[in-house]
Amino acid sequence: MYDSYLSRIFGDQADKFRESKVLMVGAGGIGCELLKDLLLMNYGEIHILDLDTIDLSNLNRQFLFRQKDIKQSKALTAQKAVESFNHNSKLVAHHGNIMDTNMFPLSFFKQFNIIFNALDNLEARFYVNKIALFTKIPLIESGTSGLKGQVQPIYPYQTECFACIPKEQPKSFPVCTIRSTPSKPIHCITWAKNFLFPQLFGEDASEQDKLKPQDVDSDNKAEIEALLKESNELLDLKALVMNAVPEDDSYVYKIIAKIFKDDIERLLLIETLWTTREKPTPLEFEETKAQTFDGQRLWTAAENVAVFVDSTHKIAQRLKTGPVDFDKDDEDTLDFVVSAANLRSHVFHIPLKTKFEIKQIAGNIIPAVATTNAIMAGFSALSSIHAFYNTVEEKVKHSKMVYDSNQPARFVNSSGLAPRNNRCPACSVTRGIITLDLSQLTVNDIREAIIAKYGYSDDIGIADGSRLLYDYDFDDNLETSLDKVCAYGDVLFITDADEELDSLELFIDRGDALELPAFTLPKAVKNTDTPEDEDDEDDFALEGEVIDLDGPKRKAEDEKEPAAKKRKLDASAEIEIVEL
Amino acid sequence: MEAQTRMRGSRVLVVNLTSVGGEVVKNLMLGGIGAITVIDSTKVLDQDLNVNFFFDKTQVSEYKVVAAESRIRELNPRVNLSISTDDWESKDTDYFASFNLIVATGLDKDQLSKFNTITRDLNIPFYAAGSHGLYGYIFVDLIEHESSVKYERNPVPKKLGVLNPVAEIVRITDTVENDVEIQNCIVKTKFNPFSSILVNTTNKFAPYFPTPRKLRKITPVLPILLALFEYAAVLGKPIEEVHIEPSDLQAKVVRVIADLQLPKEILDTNLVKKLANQAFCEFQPVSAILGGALSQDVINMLGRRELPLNNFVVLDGYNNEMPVFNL
Repeated sequence: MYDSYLSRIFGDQADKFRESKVLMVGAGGIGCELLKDLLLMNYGEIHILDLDTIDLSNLNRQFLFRQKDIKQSKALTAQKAVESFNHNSKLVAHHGNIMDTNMFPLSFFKQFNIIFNALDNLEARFYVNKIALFTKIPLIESGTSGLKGQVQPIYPYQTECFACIPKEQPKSFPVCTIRSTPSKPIHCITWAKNFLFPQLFGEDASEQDKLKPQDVDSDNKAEIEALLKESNELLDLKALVMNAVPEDDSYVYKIIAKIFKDDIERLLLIETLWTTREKPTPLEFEETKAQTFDGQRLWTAAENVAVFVDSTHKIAQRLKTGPVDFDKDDEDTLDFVVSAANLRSHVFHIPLKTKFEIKQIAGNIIPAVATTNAIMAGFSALSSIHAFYNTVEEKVKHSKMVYDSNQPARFVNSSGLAPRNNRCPACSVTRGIITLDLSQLTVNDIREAIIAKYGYSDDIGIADGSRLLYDYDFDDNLETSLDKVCAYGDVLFITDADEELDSLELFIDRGDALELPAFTLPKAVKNTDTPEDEDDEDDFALEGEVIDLDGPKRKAEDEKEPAAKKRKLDASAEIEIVEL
Repeated sequence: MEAQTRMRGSRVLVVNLTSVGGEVVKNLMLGGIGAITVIDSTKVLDQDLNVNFFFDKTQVSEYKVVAAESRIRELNPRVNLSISTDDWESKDTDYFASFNLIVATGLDKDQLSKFNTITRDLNIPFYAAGSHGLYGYIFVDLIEHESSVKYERNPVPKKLGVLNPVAEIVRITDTVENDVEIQNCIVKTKFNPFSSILVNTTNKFAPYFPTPRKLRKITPVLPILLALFEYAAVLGKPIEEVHIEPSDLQAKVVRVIADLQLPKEILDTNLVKKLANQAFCEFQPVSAILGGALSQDVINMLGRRELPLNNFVVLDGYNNEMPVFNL
């Protein structure tokens, strides 16, 4: 029999796999591996969910995809690719965003026995974590980054959830560091790639692209004004680029003068910026022959000007046949980013970098490693065998969290599941699902229903996400129909005006009649003690492929890092720098 | 770049397309190794369908390598793939000498000893792996190996000389990468052959488990996996025909514990029963982990990066643990 091994190893439990429905969120690097493992464990029904399409760069590790599948849906292609070795499972593919509540309302999730996360971004992971909390479905979370990876089984409210330990957000920089006061090569590369490039060559700039005062994280009024002016003048430069003709590249010098001279002079006028910093020097340059040079050696400022002219003019011509996006393997776009970043570095007295170095940083990059994905997917699948114990205590007791190890004495680190964190913003909150038909009720209807159901002594405050819908001195919305102010999938935050009862979170699910979850709200906790030590920080906030403003996301690069430690791991564990 | 060139210039022989073998082949194909030869003289059984994604149900009773060939090739057309349905034991030394790395899966003690003797004579790196239900192992013999390992400079920096009982730092270069001080250490590692892993004449555990209490913490899976090497390999045989008496296995485990001078408490009778039942079973997630770890080490080894696995990795798939023993 094809399943004789499974029967031998698991006995009756093999039937449990067959009777279970599981959801796999993400069909990328880990997902392809995980799908193969789950399928060969004979899970009865496997739903594959991914919003992405297949890209050329996926093929060297996402083994279910081929050249011919490029631009096709990952979820659907993965489903087709495994047909030949699918012996028992029903497969359902969903091409969509997990956070789309129309496609995937709460009722969609309720059908599953286990959810497997194989995601590459924190936002979606926090979302699925929240769904797992609302539905109390076990979630097996996994992630990799280069040679590092981790698997965390989550039994909602019993064990640590994905939000219990603060995650290290992919590093980003304050807009003003990038726009006004760069001090490192990475700041200039980020500026060239993420600000200048899209401004000059991006899709038609509209009102939306204009920098607005609220986008600027600064209370320096003069600086904000300078930035706004600079940004909006860039739109004029864009017109120069759009109207460029092949035989004349003189317009590029206007661009150089504007960005590396005029804008800098304007910044210099804001004296407060330079009290503690070295002042930039506006660029002095001469017209030169447009050309590019060997990428291994460092270019001079004049050479960078030549490359800037050459690449800008080439990209301008290419724009006539369609938009151009930055791609580290596209020589023109890379040349542009290298020369623009270096000219800016030159202006701000920051060391220049070679094209080769900038390619690595701008390509951002810890390359995903196929074997790490295979290993962590294997542990993810393996972790699910403990979800079939009868009691939640047993499930928790036998489950382990797995991390990569850099100790010669073990290939992975593992630890028991920690209990949930009492201060967790996600799982320490009382929460439930409210079902209703939004078009049939007003804000006041649910306000009264909630007060009556949970016995609030007087009044409550209601917010949808961070938007206030009602409190005792904001009653404008009371008679507003809920469908005007809320959507299915939103979460309502309910607070007690008298601060007697604990706050409450209600997930809005579609239903015919108003139904509120049954429980007794605990008393509010007066939180007076100091927050826990910040050094409890963990570094398993890994992502499949780290796409952020920063370059290689190395642990060591984080300034506050040395004190950070992997929880529950040997304190002596050495930090290894992963170079591929 | 040099690492890439070495990958592309490598010729790997994979012996037996077991479940773990299939994972290794997949990973090395994706990794872009130069050439892979897969040799296996057995045929597809029904039970293989659930542990090896290279076969489909119309291919039962075909030669495994023939059934899998086109699906393997599709993974990366640039890899030079060849297959053989010959019995590897019929091959002579010249045949093995044409490879610069050999990975063997599903072999027993005599076969592994014999094979490892050949690879040692030819000075070829040798990897072996196998699984028993939720448990499995990787054995590595790179004979002698030099690799570069990067350490972030600690307050107590790395020094030239002994790193651990089998590894020595022979050169250190200080560099700065992304504002971080790095010590790039060239580490020379020595390996023991398979024939030595079941004996203990050198008090081999002492450096790693210096106290009796620590010694008792050695996983009970280790002696059982070693004892299972005593049973003849069952490749190509339906699992229904495989029967291992728990009492017989236990006697072998007791002997292994004595030979290795491990504390008697390491014997776990329940685990022996469990493994007697699961012996020689394949399970996809276990294969994926073993195959992934083995392939990663092969890729690192060819790129001369990182410390290699040295030399016996135990996978306990029930407890999600993977200790590495230097046997």
